[in-house]
Amino acid sequence: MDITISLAAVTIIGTFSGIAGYFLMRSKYKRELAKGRSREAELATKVYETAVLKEIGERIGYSLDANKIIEIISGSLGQLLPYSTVSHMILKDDRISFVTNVNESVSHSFINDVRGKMLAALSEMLMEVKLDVDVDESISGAILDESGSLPVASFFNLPIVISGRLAGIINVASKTEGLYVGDDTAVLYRIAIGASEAVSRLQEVLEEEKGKLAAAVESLSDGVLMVDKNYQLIVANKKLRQLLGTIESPKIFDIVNALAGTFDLRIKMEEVMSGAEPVASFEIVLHDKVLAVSAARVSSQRRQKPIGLVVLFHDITDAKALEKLRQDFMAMMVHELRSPLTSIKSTVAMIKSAGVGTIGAEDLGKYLQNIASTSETMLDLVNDLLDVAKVEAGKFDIVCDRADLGEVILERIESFKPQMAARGLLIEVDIEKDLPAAWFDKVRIKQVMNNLLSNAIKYTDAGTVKVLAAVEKVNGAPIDILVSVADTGIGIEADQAEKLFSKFGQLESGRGHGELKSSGLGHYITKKIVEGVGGKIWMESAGAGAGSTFFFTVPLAAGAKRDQAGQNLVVPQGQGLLKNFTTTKVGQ
Amino acid sequence: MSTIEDYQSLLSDLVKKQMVMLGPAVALTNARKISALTVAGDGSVTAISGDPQAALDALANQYMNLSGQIAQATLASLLEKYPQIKSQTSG
Amino acid sequence: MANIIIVEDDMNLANIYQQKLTAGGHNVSIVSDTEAVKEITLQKPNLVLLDILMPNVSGLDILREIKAESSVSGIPVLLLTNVAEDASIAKGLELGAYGYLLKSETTPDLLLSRVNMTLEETAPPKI
Repeated sequence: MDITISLAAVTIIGTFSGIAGYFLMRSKYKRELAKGRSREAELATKVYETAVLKEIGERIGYSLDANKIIEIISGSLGQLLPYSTVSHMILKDDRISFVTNVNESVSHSFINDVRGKMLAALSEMLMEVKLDVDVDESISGAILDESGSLPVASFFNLPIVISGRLAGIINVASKTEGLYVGDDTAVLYRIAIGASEAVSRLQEVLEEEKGKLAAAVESLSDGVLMVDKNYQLIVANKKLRQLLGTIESPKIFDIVNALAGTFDLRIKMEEVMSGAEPVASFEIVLHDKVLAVSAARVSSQRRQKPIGLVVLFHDITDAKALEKLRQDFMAMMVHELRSPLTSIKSTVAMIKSAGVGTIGAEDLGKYLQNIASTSETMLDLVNDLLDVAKVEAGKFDIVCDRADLGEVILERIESFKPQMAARGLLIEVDIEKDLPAAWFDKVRIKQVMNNLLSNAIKYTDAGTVKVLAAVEKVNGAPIDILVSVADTGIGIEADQAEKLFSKFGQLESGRGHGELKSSGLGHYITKKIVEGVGGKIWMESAGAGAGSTFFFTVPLAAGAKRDQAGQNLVVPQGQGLLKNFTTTKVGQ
Repeated sequence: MSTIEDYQSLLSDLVKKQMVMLGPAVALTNARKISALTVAGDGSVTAISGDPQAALDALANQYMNLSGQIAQATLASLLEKYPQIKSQTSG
Repeated sequence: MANIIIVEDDMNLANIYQQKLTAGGHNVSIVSDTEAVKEITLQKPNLVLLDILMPNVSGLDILREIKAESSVSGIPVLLLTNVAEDASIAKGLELGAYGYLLKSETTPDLLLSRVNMTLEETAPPKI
């Protein structure tokens, strides 16, 4: 009997434990299950949220359209909530577009009710009492059921705010009562806010980048015109407005007008946009400027479809003028060389026709002298041209050394004395006593003296040629040697003086006084030489008939202060060579 | 000194505006999440227990989670009508 | 025996031409480009040798002026030029020049014969 009771007790207790255990297990299991289910629901919601945001991200791409977000969110609702209609209102400049998608059949008055509620919400949000704009309505989806009379029983609104501006709202409405009270709507609000913020941030970045790009384009030195694929104006930068002479904010119409008489912009744009050639280049003349115009089609990188057009306007007026100057110069040089040759040929013909054996000595002498002097002229010209070519090619050698400038000057003057005497000109020389040693290229400076002296003689009919050389001092310190060659000749006008030392000076000032022709290159080369040794050259003249004076400086040799100002090149002391002295721009 | 009535009035206005903007069910549900508030079906706040400022801040936060800047703007304009009440979450 | 005016800035050449033509029995004077129109109108020569490219006044401008002046428009003008393809030649012929010569290709002898030929062709009809 005792054993039985114990056994029974154990069994009962065991059973109770078992049963208790079972119940405990079960409730634990249930709890787990419930947790599992709510986790499942949570997960489902999370999945939904992620999916929608991802889709928005993909679909938005480069065009940040509030419309797109609104459409995507509206379209995805079906997966999440029961509803009768989903609608959205998008705020445009002067109107509101109202789009409704009907899921479960409702009556027209239902839709009107939705509309009213949405407008009320918008008013509230914008804090305007009455929205006085047109509403464009559009309904799609299931057919309306006019017999139904159920009003809007439940609804909620999702505002979409982008970059601080209310872009629109989404409305979800149902005939069924009591909906949208739970947290199922919360996820939509989160999505709406998340997407709006993302778009806002993107938009801000884009605006900033656009701003930078716009600033860059605006400051370009070429005129830039950009249109989209519908020929709507996107960019017309400052240079373009200047070149065309349009107002501050032109329309495409203004631009087409401004180009009237040069080319038809519209036709050109169409050709490039849809033609075989994606680029068109040509030149036009507008308002006394020559412009190189280049129109290019812009295609999207991914799909190679045309998305717009860029037209570039590049001012080549100066380049063209320079080109013309060069061509004229060439033509002139050709002529300058042919003339003496023709002269020589004719002279030879004269000798031959008179007969080499029978021609008189006097005539022969005259002809030969002709040939000699003409050849000299030609040779000078050819040498000058060669020097200019060397200067241009950077191969004009200037080799400096310590030397006595006074000696060089005197020697040159001696060689010109016969010429001067022949023309009845007097020569005055004043070279400072004990002139310090200078640093220069003897051969080249001789060339300079030749040029200056021969010009002085050529352009002076009577009077004196005066040559001075002295040390220049600044605050008592010697800086360089100043040389001047003054004549009492025909002088130089102010406007000619400007172009005197330029390569094309001859062309521009129309120099040449009958037999006193010069190629004009001599002065150009002289200037290059003087600057090449580190000096400066200039001319002073009181005008026509008042004579002219040419000044140039030569640096002092080591041991004396150098003149820093006006030197194009620093001549290193102790080095004998200054090779590859490069010229700067042509036609200065 | 602002009174409970002022707070109640302000809160009621807030809820009612949110009912128009976001929809009645959503606005009420979220208002009722603030335990300190007793909210009627039309949006009026009939009772506030505890610190009314805290309740205001809590409700403002709740709505901002839903409509972000809109809620902020609404609150700001309402506060103009009740200058005695300051909000920590406005501005 | 004709009166001829040469308008040419290259003195060497002008002198040679003058010498040749004088040896050919003509009366030749050389004038500068600036004096050309005046001298031609004054002297009314039988023929004018006119250089196109000159420093101060263009030969074509001189040509234009004398062709516009009735008292001298009938005088035959032979243009002197260095370049064969020059558009100026065409222009000159258009303006009424009688013909042209390439200086580089024309020996003084040829010049004389061309001048004589021109004088013959343009001489007023003999009664």
